Amino acid sequence: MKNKYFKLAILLLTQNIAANAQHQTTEFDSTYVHMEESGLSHVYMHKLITLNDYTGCKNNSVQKLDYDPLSAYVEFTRVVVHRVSGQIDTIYDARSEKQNTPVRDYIAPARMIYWGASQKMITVGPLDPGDRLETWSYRKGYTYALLGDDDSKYIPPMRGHFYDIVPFWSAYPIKEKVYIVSIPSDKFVQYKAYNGDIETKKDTLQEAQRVCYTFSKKDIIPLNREPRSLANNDIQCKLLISTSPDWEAKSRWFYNVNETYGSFNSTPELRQKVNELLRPAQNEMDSISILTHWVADNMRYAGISMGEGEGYTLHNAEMNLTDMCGVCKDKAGLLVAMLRAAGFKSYAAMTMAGERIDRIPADQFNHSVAVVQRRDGRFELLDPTWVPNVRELWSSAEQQQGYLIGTPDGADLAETPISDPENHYIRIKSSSEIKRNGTLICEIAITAEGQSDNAVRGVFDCRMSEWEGNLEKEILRISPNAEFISVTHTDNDKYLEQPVTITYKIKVPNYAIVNKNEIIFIPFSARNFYARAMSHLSFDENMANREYSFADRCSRMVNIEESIKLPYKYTQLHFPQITGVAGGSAAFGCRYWLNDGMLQFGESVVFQKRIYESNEWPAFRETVSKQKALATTPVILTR
Amino acid sequence: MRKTIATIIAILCSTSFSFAQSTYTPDAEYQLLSRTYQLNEDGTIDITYRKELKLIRNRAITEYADKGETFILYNPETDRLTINESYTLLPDGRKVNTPANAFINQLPSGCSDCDSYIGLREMAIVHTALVPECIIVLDYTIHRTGHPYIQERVILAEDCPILKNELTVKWSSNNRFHHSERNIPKNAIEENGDRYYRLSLTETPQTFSDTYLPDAETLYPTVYIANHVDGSTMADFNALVSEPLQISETLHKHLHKDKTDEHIKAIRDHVVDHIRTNHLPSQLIGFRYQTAQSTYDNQCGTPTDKAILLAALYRQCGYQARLIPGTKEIHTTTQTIKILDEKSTAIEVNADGLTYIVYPAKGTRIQLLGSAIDDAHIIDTVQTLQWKPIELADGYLQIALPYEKSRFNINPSQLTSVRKSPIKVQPVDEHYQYTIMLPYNVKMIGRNININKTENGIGSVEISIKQNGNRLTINRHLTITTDTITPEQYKKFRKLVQLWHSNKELFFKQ
Repeated sequence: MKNKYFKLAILLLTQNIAANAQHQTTEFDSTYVHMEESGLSHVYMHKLITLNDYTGCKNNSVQKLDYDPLSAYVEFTRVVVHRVSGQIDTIYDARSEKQNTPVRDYIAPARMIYWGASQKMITVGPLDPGDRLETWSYRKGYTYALLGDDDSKYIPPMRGHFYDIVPFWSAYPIKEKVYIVSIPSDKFVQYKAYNGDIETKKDTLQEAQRVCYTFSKKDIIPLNREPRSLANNDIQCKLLISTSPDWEAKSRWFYNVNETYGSFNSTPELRQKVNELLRPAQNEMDSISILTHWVADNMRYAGISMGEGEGYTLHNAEMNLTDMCGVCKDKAGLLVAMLRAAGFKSYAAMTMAGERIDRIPADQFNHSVAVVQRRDGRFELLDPTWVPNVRELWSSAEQQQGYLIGTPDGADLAETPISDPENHYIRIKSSSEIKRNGTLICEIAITAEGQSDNAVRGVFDCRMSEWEGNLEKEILRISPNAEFISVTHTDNDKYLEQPVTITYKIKVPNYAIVNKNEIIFIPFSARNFYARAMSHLSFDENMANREYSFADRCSRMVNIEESIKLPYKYTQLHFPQITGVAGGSAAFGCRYWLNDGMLQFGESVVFQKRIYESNEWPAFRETVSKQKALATTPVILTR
Repeated sequence: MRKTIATIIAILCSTSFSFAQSTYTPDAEYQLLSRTYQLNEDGTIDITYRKELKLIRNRAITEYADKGETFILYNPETDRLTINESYTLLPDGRKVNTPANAFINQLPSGCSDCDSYIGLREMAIVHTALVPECIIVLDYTIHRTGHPYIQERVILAEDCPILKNELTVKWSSNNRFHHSERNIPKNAIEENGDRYYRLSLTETPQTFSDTYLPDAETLYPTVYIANHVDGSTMADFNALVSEPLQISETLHKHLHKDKTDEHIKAIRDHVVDHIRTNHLPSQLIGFRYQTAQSTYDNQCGTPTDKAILLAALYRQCGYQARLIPGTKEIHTTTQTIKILDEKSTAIEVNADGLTYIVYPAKGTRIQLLGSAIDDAHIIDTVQTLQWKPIELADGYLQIALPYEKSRFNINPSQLTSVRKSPIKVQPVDEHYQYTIMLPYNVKMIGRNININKTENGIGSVEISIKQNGNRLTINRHLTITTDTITPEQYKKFRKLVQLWHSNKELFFKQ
């Protein structure tokens, strides 16, 4: 998944939850799951919704069921509207012989992943506030695909197993939610409620040799989400249930399914390509880096279906090299195949971008990556999907994230480590002069590494003809009347050769107020130069407290130094005290001092990680707040 | 004098140094982009597209959705889509055919959640084997049987250069064909009697990406093509309105308002806000709109479907209403024709002896026919501000002037030193006068400010800031007298905008 789309999805979901709460109320939401010995599950859903206003009516005037025809079957069983007038209208009844409202079945609109994901849709028609909509539907199958002549295509690839991730949260109020699952009594079952309590009941049906688990919760109220808080499944009530004994079993399954298919089998073309690419490699790390970045930058993110096995099987090297496109798993697959062709021990791994993976081994994955074993025996993560145009092999925007490597012996769930803020530094160095007429002459350079390097180079994320304009806008955002003298930068097309450096020489008329007694101005470098690379500045520091954990894009360090030649000799410095912050997770410091007729300015900001606990908010907030204050507070010097 | 010349040379050198690298490599380049319309005697139309797109920079492969994929909208009920050729030509000359699993026939997103348009399809083609310097070749034909009309505004520019850009129309004696061009040289057009029209451009530059751009047809080569003279007659809109409409009693009560103008607005807002909109080209649906009842029953429709429903709802609520299809006049070499312009479709509602013009779009004004429209854009504000400074240090104070709800929305940080495209602006005449009574011992730092700049044909900026005793008077006056800034006027306009946004923060000493 490309991170920009992922961020957008999170944002939309966040907004949706707050906005939709009042439009409808779910009276009850019941799900009954019958699991067969093979793992095939039959899911019966029954729901009653009261519409509270015309927006709620609009949102429910069609009903849709999503499914992948290769691995799942869905149907509407019955749809009934209980009108506010007391009239009951049956919109659809699968058992009725009368003319029903047609159920439409089509491949859903898609971008980037074209696997034929489908929808069934039924038009409910006009609704009025106070109407209640009751729906019954049925689903069998799985998210993944195994083709067969009969129901076998709906049996999950990890045969004989069942898992589910059941949100006990909602964008709308739910008066009662019940989830019942019936499982053969010889199956091992583990489950756990997270982020809240769920009432649980276990009934053993001796004769049927089944165990029935009932999970229920009343009065589910939509959460008033805090901006930048974690995924709903991380902070709101959910149930995880799985028959898989542990993550090791899942790891072995993932390894075997791709080895059996031959996802990483070498071909003469693959070997030739690897040899050609590795010709300039000097050492182990060179080889890993060359192959990772080649896959990242040359294999387009666009998923086409391989048919049987799509969704969980990594396309093989032959397919990938021919198509030169695929989703994350296919990019990971090609990289594993190339690394193996180069003599490395390498495996594919699964991870969950933007959401926590909990200990119950349900299938909490939305992303696939590669791992390589270094000579010293340790495994190193590689993400060819998230590192195009990034000077990393594993994107630190994915630090503090769970992952599972598919290995022959089975691996346990692991978490990616915190990336040192120094790996993502932003250094701004400026040398300037203020003339007696208030004009600023300034040479300012920014250099950055890691995720910050990528964020700074966002100015080049456009057609080449727009580069100059984008570079200039970074200055104009601070001083719209700035005049350019020159700008130089490292070659964006050779971003792997060195961290980005962009150096400007500018002139800004009327930048400072200068008179015979005093001078007033804000150092250019203090004014959030290249704020595009400082995502922490978009946090709302007016929020006093946070109840939930929150996330920034990445750990980060910002160091700013400026030396300013002044038009007169000044003796006194007037500046409001902006005290430092020394929190465990975020820190800030700044200072001004006069040195030999020059004004010196220094600022330092550190954010230690990506995901923060709510009790770390005060230090984070104060650091952001101080940096913003510094950017808008003038320094005054008097003679 | 010598010093002045040296300064000029220095400025010229520095300018050329910083922006000399004006030779840009485009991300991609169309070697050929061609469209052919064949108007057949039996009323069917064959539309053939061909593109030969060369991917040059890496981002053409990894960043763009529209370079690596092609999306073709069609109506399987009336259109037959034939892919004539689809392959990638590799730099070494090898040809890689697009595999079968790279053609996905899916629902267009514009048809989501609407039973009326659930039959339309989008063929998504994923181009494979993309490498730098490869050429994507795609050629397809849509044989359209649903209606005999063509009506299109074709912008002959893309976000990368087009080396060869062709548009051809062939028609039979039964057909008529009208065309009108903008920004196209006459010698680019080849006409053969009354059966053949061919427009051929070479080296069309890529589109602009600047902010505040005017309408595309004023910037790029554009051609209107149509085979009828009055778009408003392509469908019998008011017959669709006239069909009886049944709505729920609850909705009827919900929309009721005692005052007529509020009632008219409530009905409009319900249709705008609570009936889903499907943005689909009328060409695609064959100019066959839904009846008002169908739009209501399905709770969705195109903007024109919603306009039909709105007119019918007014009638249902007891008003006289009719739909006025929006049209745009296009001047061909021989006559003026009317192209359907759905954005300007309106409903005329007669109530209480008054005529209201209602546009079925969010936030638009409901206009009384004959009433004056406020288009003077004049703001004249006189305000006494409270003295609420920010305390800096050691008796230094700062104030910021209040945020002005200006209709002038140009952000100076978007105005770079060089611009080749025009700017669309809103003519304004805005005057803000603020008075602040200062405490007796407070003095403004710096001299009084007096800026007065007029640029003929663009506008003017006047700013004066004066402290007289303990009274601080601030006068700010902006006029913009045009709606388009040409590239030639840009530098002067930019300077005016910079001045307008200057001196908004003031400093004082206690």
